[in-house]
Amino acid sequence: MSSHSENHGGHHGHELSFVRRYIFSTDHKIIGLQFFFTAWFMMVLGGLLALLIRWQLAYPDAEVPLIGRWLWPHNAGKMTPEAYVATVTMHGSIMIFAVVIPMTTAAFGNYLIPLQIGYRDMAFPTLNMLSYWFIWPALACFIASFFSASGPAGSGWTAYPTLSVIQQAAPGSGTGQTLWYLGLLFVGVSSMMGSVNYLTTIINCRAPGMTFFRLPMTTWALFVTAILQAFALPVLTVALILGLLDNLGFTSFFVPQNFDGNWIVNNFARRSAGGQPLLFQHLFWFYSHPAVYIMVLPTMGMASDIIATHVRKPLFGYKPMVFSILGIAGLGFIVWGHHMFVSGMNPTLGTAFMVSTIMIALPSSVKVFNWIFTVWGSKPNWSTALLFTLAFVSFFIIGGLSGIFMASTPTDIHIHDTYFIVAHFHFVIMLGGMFAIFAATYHWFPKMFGRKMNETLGKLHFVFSFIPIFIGFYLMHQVGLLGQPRRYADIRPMLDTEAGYAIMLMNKISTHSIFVFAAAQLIFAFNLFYSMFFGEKVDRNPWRANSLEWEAPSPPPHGNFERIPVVYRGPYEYSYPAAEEDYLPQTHPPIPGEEEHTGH
Amino acid sequence: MQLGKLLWALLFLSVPIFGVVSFWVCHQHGALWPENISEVYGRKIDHLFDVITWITGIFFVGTELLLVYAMFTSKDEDAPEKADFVHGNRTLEIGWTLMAAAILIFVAFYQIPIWTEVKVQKPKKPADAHITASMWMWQVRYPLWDEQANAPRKLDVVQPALAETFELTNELHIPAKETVLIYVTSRDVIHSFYVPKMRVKQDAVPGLLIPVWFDAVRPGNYEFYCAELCGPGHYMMRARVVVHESRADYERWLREQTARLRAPGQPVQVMNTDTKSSVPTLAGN
Repeated sequence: MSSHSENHGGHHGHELSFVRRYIFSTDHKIIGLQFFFTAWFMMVLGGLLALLIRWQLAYPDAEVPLIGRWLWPHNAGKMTPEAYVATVTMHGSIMIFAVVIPMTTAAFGNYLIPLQIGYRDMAFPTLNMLSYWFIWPALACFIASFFSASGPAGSGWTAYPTLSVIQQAAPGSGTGQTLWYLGLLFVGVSSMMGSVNYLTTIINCRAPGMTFFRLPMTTWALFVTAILQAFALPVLTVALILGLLDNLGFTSFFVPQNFDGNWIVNNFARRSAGGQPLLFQHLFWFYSHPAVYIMVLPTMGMASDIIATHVRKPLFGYKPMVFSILGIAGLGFIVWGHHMFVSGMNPTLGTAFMVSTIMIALPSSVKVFNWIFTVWGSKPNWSTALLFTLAFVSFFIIGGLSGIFMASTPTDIHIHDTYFIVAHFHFVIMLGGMFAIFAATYHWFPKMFGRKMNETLGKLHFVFSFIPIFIGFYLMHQVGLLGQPRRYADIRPMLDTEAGYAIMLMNKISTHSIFVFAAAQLIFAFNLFYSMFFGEKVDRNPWRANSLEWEAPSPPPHGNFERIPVVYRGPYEYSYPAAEEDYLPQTHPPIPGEEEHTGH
Repeated sequence: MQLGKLLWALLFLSVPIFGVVSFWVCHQHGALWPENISEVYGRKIDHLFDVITWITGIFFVGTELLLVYAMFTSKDEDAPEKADFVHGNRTLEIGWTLMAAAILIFVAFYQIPIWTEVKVQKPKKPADAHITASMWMWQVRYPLWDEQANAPRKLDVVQPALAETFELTNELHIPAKETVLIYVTSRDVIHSFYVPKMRVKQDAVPGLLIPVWFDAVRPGNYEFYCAELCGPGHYMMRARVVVHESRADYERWLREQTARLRAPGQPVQVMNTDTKSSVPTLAGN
């Protein structure tokens, strides 16, 4: 991480101590890398939970290998239903709030924004440092909940009341759930600090000549994501605080007036005072649907940059790409009700949410067509980064199209809360988002560490990730259609139906595929750490890319640039016929006769 | 032709091929395709499902093939010429935006009447049953048979009176070949009433009383279960729908149950909680 030490680009006059430079650092790149490694660490945890889920679905009656006897000695090494719902809950919560959001917005956002806009750091470096250190109380809460007496939260990552707010309702609804609420609140604080910082930085600190329509798509996407976070997060915070107060027994925002408290605990009824469980769902999804775009938009932005760079061709339709991001973000605020078609919400309202939700497929399809036409007539270098990005496009098509089934109110009735929806959002966030994160890691690794990741291992990683994960998750559509519900600790009782045998078989295929995928990640982990120290050394622009981050040394010193760059054009002028090379950096002085291209 | 390029294009080609073939195999193989025993509501939902499957299927195959074709026809790495210097195409952008918009608007408006029928316009008929979900069972309350009127008593769904109803656990009896109207509510946490083979699902929310209607044509026993996470026992919350051959058959069953309860020495079943404390609010409609 530290091959550089002397050159500070004239930004800092004095040497910083190790602690100030690498631990309590205010340098956006160090903070980015801190988020980067924290998110990978949490991904290992979330991924292991995923393997537990898959094991339980395929072999509900078998002892869990390696850890079963140790974790569930009283149950012959088999997973208990309490443990299963907790595993499902923590897998979702960790992957969303501690892995994908920190990875896309915080890790790559921090690392790339100042570099791509040509500035020395974030606008508020100390706030930036705080945003990283606020993620640790969150992770501490998540991890501590595993050690609470009654186990971690078990009400799903959506934590619907009243299950989540009545401590006596289920084992996980006690301390585990309280820690869950606290953890999410800390994540929110961290995200909010990040998003105001990104907005300020992108609006105020762009290099001379860097107009908004010369920003790389990654920065555009992160800019719009920051707006989404800034406006949606307060609503989630409200929901979490109200839920926490309910959970601690002070209030009953989400517990109805006539709630039959005696059913759960004798003296519970005393605090029932006219709350409404559906209120939480509205507040929660008002944030958590935009949160899908908070996870996906940055990966779309990064994918656009990576595709254009590695196929050596200008991004097709730059402006339509920008407007479709804005369209997705705008529509993203008025679609939350599609999570609630069968919740008991007034069904007429469902019609309105259905129309807005269906229409969000429009900007998404514009993006897909533009990616495909960027590849059209291009000259790809077939790097691992490109392959992962193309896989992102391929899988996002599936995730986007399967979304139309859920957006359609009548069909949603059948597939709501089945494995169909599980397949859908994994195709968007896992096979889509995660593959873009892999691509971004391969692509920006040389900038981060001055070395390239090994391409042979990278391609091996790609092939053994692409095939099994696709098979594993694609089959889930079918088991969902056959009626397998989510979050069932044991699906075997369904075997008395004719479809039972097929469902079980497909679950086993999914499980084995996903285990192969997990094994392939060992290649990636090895490659990541091996290349960090022994990878091929590269200069500052190994991909011959145009955007400003490649003008800085690899890795960039504190202060990033020797001098602040001046920008003359957009970031996608690849294969300009009149240029000598097949790329034309944003800082290259204008070529006589050159026109400004921003797509149409 | 570069070998690597060909292999990568083929790998990506496996996505639409596997996608379509596996779907087709499931569609052709009876046990792998969800059975539907509903003639009215479920059939309409399945029809919409088919329409959307065709539209999205064509888009899926088309766009995936377009991607594979673009990969396949891209220039070789060692080709002498540069990649095309193209920034976009206004006609294409407008074209595919309008095409996608037209198709999406069609999908949106095509389904509104179906949604209205299955979820918005409650059928005008007396309620057949009242379901209270709780951890982790379904208590189904039916009206007793009124001998004088030769009809079931009126089921007061807001507050089912003990004297006029009887209760079964985890068993929902319905007549075949007609619209069935039931009300669901919950006593503790959110549950969800889900009968996959009748394409019906409705969350049971504490404090809300929500009407659900559906139909079945084939008599028999069918599974229904909880589809909303309701604690560790969620997976055990399974029950059955018993579809009687006809209205007459169903009414005969109601009469039998009533007679059995009224028989001397038979204790009248009562709900095991105080119903007065749980008066839910009528939702929607």
